[in-house]
Amino acid sequence: MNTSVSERNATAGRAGNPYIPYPVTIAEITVENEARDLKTFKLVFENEEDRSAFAYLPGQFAEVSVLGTGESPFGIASSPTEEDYLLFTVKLTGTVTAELHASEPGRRIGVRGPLGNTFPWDRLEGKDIVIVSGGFAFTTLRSAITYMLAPENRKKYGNIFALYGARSPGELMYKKELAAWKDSQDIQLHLAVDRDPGEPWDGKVGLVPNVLRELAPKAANAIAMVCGPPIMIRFTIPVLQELGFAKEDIILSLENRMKCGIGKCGRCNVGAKYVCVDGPVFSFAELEKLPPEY
Amino acid sequence: MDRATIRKEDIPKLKGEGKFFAPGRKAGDATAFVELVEEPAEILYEYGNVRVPLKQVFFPQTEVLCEYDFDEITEVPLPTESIVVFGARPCDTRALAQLDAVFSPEYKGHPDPYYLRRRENSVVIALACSLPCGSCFCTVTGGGPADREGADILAHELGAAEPGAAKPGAAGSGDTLLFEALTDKGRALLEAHGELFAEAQAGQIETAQKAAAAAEAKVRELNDLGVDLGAELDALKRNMDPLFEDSRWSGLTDSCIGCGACTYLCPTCYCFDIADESRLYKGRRIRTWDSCQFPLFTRHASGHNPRTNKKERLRQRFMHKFSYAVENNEDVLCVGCGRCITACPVNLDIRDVIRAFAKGIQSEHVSQ
Amino acid sequence: MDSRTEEIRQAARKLFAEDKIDLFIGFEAGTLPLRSRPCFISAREAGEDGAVERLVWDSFCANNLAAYLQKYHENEPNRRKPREKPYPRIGIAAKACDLRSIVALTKERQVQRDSLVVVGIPCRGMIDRRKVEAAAAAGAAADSAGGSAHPGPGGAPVEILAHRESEDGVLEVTLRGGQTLSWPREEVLQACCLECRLPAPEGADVVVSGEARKPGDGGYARIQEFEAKSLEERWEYFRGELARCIRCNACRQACPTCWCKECFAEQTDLKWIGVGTEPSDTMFFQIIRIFHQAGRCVECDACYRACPMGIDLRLYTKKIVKDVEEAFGYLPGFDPEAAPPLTTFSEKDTDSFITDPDKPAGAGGDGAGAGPAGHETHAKGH
Repeated sequence: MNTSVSERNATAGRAGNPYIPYPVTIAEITVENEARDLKTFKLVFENEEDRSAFAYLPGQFAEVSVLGTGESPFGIASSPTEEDYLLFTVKLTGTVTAELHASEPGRRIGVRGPLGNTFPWDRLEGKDIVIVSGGFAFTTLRSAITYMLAPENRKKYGNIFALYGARSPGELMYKKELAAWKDSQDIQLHLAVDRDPGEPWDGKVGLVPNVLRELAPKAANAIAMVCGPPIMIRFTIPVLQELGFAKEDIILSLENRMKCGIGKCGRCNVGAKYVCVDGPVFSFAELEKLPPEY
Repeated sequence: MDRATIRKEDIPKLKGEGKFFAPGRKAGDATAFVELVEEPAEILYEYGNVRVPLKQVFFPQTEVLCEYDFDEITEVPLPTESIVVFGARPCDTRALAQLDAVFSPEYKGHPDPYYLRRRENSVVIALACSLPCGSCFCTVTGGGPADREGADILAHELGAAEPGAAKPGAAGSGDTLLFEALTDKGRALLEAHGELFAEAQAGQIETAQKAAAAAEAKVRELNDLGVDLGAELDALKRNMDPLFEDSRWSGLTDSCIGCGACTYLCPTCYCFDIADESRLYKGRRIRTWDSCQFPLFTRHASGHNPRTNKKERLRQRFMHKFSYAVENNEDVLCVGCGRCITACPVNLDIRDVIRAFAKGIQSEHVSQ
Repeated sequence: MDSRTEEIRQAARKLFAEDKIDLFIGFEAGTLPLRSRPCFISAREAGEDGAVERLVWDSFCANNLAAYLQKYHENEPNRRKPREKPYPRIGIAAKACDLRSIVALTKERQVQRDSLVVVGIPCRGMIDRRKVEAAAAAGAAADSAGGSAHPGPGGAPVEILAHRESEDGVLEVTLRGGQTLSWPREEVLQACCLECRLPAPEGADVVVSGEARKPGDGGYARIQEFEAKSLEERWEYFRGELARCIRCNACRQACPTCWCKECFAEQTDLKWIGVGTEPSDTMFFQIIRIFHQAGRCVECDACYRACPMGIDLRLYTKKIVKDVEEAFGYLPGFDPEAAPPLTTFSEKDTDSFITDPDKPAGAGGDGAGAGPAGHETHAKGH
């Protein structure tokens, strides 16, 4: 008898079962912001074959599993070029995130993935990249930027412009990476804070959509990638369109409540699309066709 | 051999090594419901449909995905037992075919090993309907009382009553069934139990076909909703989406109380939840039926909820069945069994929705 | 159809014409026999031909319409400013049990009584569809010598095609196959209606004509009989009934006084109860749900009717009503000033659960416990 269907498919979980997480250990925990409600977890696979099976590209997410508490989906913040670990940045919100925030390095948890679609890497080759992000949603863009800046990848992409805003300087994530990128010739990084921070600050002041309008990156041969809270996205898209970006060239990443992450449990749909498999990355053109239920 | 007859008294002998389900009364159940029961004391034939649909055999209400102890997974209880089901109605087996499609790896790229293992190890024998009820509209959704999708064998009662007969007592009083094997598994079952089967006579086959045709005509007569959804898949793809913002949704959904009875008793509804349940450090990760009708179904941890009110949630149910499933699966995710109509505490009727939008569905306008 | 159908339509028309309501909630004909279903008519629709004519009143108007009211009176949480938009004005057709639920919701600040116009209907009792199906199955079996009736949809024992209720209270049904059967309506009335002690709505804003049925005796005899059984027998019955529960939440949603935005069963922090059909979870859910109804349940049997699995919930709702009445002399009634027993403390409240813990529950406290005949006798002035 042939191998059963369930044995053939080897993605997303142990022994071809996409519901079973890979065991990982928390190697390091970094507090990202002043409010201390954002922590980055560096996870290391316990088994080498799990690590190789977890082949991902920026844009994807994983379900992080805490046995006894539950699971939660997080965008993967590390780039596949960072081969030895996965990074997830977790905001303290509910029961699973509370359990993670209360954890110490050395704790074993689980990951199921990689899940979802990726940023459209084929389309991005040869293009200028315009990244616009606000707040906590910057996680998968850390992955994208790290990936593009890696020496083996940099030549594939044109000019990289990135605008990242937060409420205040202390709320910006990945401060080490931001400092390195500020100095790099390979990326034009602009940081912004919503209001005058009342401390020495050499970045921009203002809401992201307004700062974007001021900086006016060129739309010719460019694709925009936008990740942020819904309200920021709502005001950023018109600015990008003003600058000349076509709807197909504005790339977004959606969030939705998820459980299985593999398109079965029916929870995360927006119209006929499931955010966990048909997304989370959508173009604005695709999103406009969907019912406004997200 | 593809067609054979078997005596009703021999049906329990079709049980294989594992489980055997047939319509009967649950021991200790004080209600009059007929259910799919494991090895019932008596197999019943005089019933419209079982209360809880066939999906519960392959997609149980509560299922253990894995067991854990502290931070380690100790067991993944993938199903191993074989299952023989006898007497599922063709609407339920057609629904099973749709669940097969959803849980297969071809659908969105991932398999559901728990469901698939059970299905691989199962043989499903459908029992054609000879007595359709007023709330049955299987023909509207592309099925019928003798539909052949999803089952391995289609059984017909020989000597069953004509629909609408004054003396329905003939239903269940015949003692022979005609089995039509529809798949390799079905044929294998007939082979394996060869001693129980006799070759079907031409007259018997004709009787069964006539009864099936009469039943189908009866369903069509009972429920003409102004549109044949099964034949209108392309129209549904074009026209259902624009109906999302239609103003009639409010009126159609006002009386919904937001319970999950329709979704739980629906043979094609399959939404589920995953939860960890522990006792100190040992526990199980389970999946359980969930419903898009519950307010918390789509609520984010942040508190944001894309569907804040009943109208939006009930609209989601109907759009999933008549639009999204058509786009994703080339099929209407409804088999016309009518359980949602009879179970609804406020008599909300999916047929009202179909009728309301029938013209819109069939219109010639082409959406962008 | 009950003759008061036209009166209810008139009441609705008048309220719309005088611009006293924005919405009317009543009943209309159902899509299956033996059913009428909730009907919502907005002021805008009321002007259209045939809108108000949808309203009917008959022996199948059993749903408790009070369950719909809370959502119209929702406020944002932690509202600091006074509400700007006025509450929608709602006319509602209410039996006595519906009105008692409205009063309970008023006391709990879930409903604004003065934005409602209650059209009270003195109730003659509602017919129990399941009793009719069972009686029809028995009747059909007896009639067609040796055979039995066509089975009905959704697990019903027979398929009833049509029903007709005569002016003199006889229900006639037609089965598929042509057979007709009939019974006096009293024989197929809901148990809660036969036992109902408060069938006449008091405090309605508009009262429709007709006399309510004579009050019943409350039906505690069945509870007393059950209480006399052994612990093992009682447990086995409860376990057996709840074994059918599929956690669909229909009981909770149909109940007008189950109104929590987040039910205890859905909380994850803390997680009180599992989500599946583990017997300890299904039993725990029902136990807590029914205890939450103490002092609030009006025995409309909405939960019992809504349950798709036919679980005998009414035994337990009635038990909680009996316990509260015997311990506190309180039955949820029509007086919005009567304080619910679980929010008040009287020195006369029984301490027997401390002083004499083995005393059977509901055996009457010291000073409280008016017995079945009285209601709310101790509630005022505490």
